Amino acid sequence: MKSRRASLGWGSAETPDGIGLLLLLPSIVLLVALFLLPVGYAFYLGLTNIQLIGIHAQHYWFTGWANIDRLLGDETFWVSLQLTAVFLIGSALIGVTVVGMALALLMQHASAWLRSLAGAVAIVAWMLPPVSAALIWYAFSTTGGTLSQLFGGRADILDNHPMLIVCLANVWATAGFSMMVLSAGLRGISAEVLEAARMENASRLQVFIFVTLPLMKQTILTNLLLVTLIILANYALTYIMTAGGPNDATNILPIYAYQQGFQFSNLGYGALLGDVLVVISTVFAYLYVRALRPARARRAAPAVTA
Amino acid sequence: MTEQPPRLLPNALLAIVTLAFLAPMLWLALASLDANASWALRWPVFTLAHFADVTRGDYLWSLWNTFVLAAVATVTSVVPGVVGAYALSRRRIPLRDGLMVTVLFLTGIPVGIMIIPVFQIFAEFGWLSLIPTGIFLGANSLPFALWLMKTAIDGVPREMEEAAAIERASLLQTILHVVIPVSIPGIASAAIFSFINAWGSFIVPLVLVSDPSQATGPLTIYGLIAAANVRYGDIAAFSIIYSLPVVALYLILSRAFSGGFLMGGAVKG
Repeated sequence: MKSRRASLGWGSAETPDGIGLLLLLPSIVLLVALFLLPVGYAFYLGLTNIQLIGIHAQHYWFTGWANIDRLLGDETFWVSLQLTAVFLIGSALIGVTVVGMALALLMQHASAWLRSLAGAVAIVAWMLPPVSAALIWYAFSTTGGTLSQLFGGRADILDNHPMLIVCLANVWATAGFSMMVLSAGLRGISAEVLEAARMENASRLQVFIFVTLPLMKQTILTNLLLVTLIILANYALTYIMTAGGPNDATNILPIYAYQQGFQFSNLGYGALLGDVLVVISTVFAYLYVRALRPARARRAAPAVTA
Repeated sequence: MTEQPPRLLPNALLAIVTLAFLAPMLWLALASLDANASWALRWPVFTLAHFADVTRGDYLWSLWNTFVLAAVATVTSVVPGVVGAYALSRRRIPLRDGLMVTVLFLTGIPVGIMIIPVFQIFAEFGWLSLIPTGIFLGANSLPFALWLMKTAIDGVPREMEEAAAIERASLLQTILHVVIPVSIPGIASAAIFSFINAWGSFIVPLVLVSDPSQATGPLTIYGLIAAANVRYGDIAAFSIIYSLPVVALYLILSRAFSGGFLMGGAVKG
């Protein structure tokens, strides 16, 4: 007769657990069919001449290096890559290290009612669907909108400073998330450590630079990687505001890939541009997984705390 | 931290930051009630006509479509996810640690940027409609849902399942009547995450849903912004109605399950 433990499935290491695998099967099928397969397929399509409409919509074939040659010689692609870097620095890096951090720090020292108001506003901005955030920021920054009213009402701020406004919109839309993560990190710093530093007559700034920041390094890094991925995924916000314009000024890589595929009908080339994005996201996601690991190890061994 | 009397400087600075975050939202609230709405921020000539306009006809239909999309996505990620998470938590799965790292890794890969291959697959199989798109979005949310629910099930005491086994409960009964009730906060978080993710999704239904009568809320709003004759008040009112469920769901659930709700975060697509 089987033991109780074995019947529950965590028995000896040798028996293959068919039921366990069966339970896992639906998830695996979904992930393979709608996640991994498309990635693989994208790498194939990226090397074909497939088009959205026209003669190469049905009859397309493998064209070897042709798309890659085109990519390497494509001025718009290289500019787009630079714009993507500027965009990610202006939205993710500034958003996490300046705005998110400022919110988290200020909330520690502000009075309770202002703290809950600020938290609620930032979290609503984070929770709003991308389309609503895009509408809000479009209305805010276009001719006659709130921001332009502050400067006389005639200027089209979005058109004059598209990258700046798009970055601000992305910071606005993600700062609430950073605030939550960083606040939790700040709460995790033990009061004794801060107390000890003050005993040594350290100034507020010194405590922040030499005690708080080093202890927060891990939290800031994982938050930064995650927000970078969130912003890369959520390019709808940027697309709805500017569609990559004016004159390609906000033509970040996900938008350029979408344009090539669905507006210029070059599905194959668009897929290749998407592959570049997959590679970039993979690097960030890999760093994210790695950055999380020591954090978990430390939580498992809380004796390390100073 | 020991409570100190609140100081002036941090309060003043936080008030300024809060105002800066609030400022863009003001237009949405005021324009939705303004009979003469424009892009400008102005005191409204009060009317509820915009809300009346956008709670009938095609507007309601597009909200219904959004709901169907989000519901299909939620079921697709939660039902396979909860049994999968149980297996990952309790059963002996070969290479489990590797699988969990892969799942965590997949939470970071934005599926939205792989829209071209998915479009091509869906076009070939004739799936360019609402339900398959919902299934795709569910698969998109599945890695994070698995992660959340596995963590929740890890916290269920094994003694409860052993007790159920003595009562000769089948595995399915044990999952349904013992594991799921106890790990409801984690499962609800996963469900809400999938729902919100699909509800807000723009590019995916834009590309994958070909029938205009299946347009979801975001596509309706986009169409209104791009229209030659912008109906400012209607857009504002409809955006508020469309956004409200998401914000409400979040606020209700974060209050009900205070703490780690959605804190792990994942990539919205």
